[in-house]
Amino acid sequence: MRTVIVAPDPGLALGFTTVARNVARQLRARGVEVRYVTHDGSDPASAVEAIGAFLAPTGMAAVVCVGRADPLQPLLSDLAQRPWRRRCHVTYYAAVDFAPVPASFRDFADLVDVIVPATTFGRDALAPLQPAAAIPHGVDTSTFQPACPATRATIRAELLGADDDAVVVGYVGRNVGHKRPDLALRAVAHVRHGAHVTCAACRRISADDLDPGGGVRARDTCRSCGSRRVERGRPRPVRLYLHTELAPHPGSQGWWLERLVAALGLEADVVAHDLDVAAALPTDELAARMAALDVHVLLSDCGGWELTALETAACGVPNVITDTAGPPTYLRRGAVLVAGSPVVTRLGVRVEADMDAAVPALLGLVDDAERRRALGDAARAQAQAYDWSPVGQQWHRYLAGVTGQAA
Amino acid sequence: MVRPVVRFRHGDPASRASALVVFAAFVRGAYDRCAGCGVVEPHRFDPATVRFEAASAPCPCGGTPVPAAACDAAVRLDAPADGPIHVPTVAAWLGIGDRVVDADEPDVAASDADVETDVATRRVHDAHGAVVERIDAPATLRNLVRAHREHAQRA
Repeated sequence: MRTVIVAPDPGLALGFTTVARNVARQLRARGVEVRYVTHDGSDPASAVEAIGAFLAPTGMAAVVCVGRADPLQPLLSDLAQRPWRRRCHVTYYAAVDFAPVPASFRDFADLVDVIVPATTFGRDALAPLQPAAAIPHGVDTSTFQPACPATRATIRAELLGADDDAVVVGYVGRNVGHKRPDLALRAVAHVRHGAHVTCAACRRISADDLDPGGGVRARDTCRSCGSRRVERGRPRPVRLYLHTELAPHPGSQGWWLERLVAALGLEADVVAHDLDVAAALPTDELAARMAALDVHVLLSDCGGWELTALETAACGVPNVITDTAGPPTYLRRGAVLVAGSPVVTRLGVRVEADMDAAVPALLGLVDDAERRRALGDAARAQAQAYDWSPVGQQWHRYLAGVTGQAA
Repeated sequence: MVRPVVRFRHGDPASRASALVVFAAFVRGAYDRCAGCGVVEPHRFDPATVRFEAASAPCPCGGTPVPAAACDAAVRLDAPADGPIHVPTVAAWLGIGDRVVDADEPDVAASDADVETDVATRRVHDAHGAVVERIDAPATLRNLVRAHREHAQRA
């Protein structure tokens, strides 16, 4: 069985490339001939030629496309014109993070034979296009695993500057619009500074408001019931590890994060690793840093998969995630889910985490080491179900089926 | 015939488009009211299935969340299509296309039975660190439930 995987440059530290590399590795381990064709949208004809050159003289080959639809569309349009297209079975592996599916995506879907979603959320969102059963992303649970106490202590002291009392909260992921690093920063700032009130009447927590200058303005009423009988929060010894691009990059719709850190008064509490996707840390170094965290916060408003949530979970770190889209479909037991407000945009409906829900979610973990440990154990157990080995087996079975060859 | 018509005051057009989801929760009764503290909480909305799902967590006060009933089938939403979002498309997607009217309709504009309420917003940072307003769905729903109750008491 020959399989072509079309994906972005494998040297880039992207979720798409992590997935594509690992699927290729798993298939090769099962005797599949695999060609990884790099495609960033700039030269579709060359990518199509590379696919054609890999086809066997007879029989079906599988083509699995991984990545955003926009750059893949010209390639698939070109492929559709080739006489040998009928000897390819084309799958689009969709980490769908939006709903409803726009009309333009339906045009794209017409160019592939099957869409395989990564989550049940994606399967539901794509239901009008009749997708195949979901195949999840995986995680290397032998690399992403809880650290030994000595290594963990060293990283916390030397890299993160955390003493024994500090709770280290991490945000690991790209600085892109939908991942909402701004909300992770906000949640940490409210907890760090005690910038919230607890209502004596309804017991709900209201996060302080942002003032027009971007800082925080103290509330004196409960946002839920309006009561004035509120108790101010108290500061917590929280440090934040930011592992992301600190400035937005073209097309990212990301944030100038250092400005937000300053506006929220977190300068003394943040350790930042300015991510460069073309020169990222070795995976084992990244895993060691993840394992040194106490909590990982990812308040994405429409996450398709979000590998770092699964990777931190595999390291035994509990997550605080928005209760929407992909992440809750695979991490429900190892995370605290944060309710949000549906926001209608031209690109679909997103669910933006409510600070009044995010702050108590984070506080509950910051204040309770035993709960962190229990939830971290549950996260690790849940992540083990997504090890690359069983996920690779699913891919092997699926591709053997669509190409008519025995697995 | 005078129909009860809800209008969301204030809020930018994008927030008012987001209020369509709040209105959908309201007409379906997709929210709980705590028997203890009385606070209203909307159910979780899943954009993939376009369904509302009741929460299983207890209220922080210890009270029992009581599901609301669907509201009067005659209630309509006045949602002028003046923003970047195509309101009829979103309303149809939410399954409330028949519940949305436009203020240009004569019987709507002449109605004296309107329930006027505010789109509640909260602030978030934009990419440059400036502050922008976004809909606060729970607070908007609470406003709507309160305004509708007051309207019913007046009627």
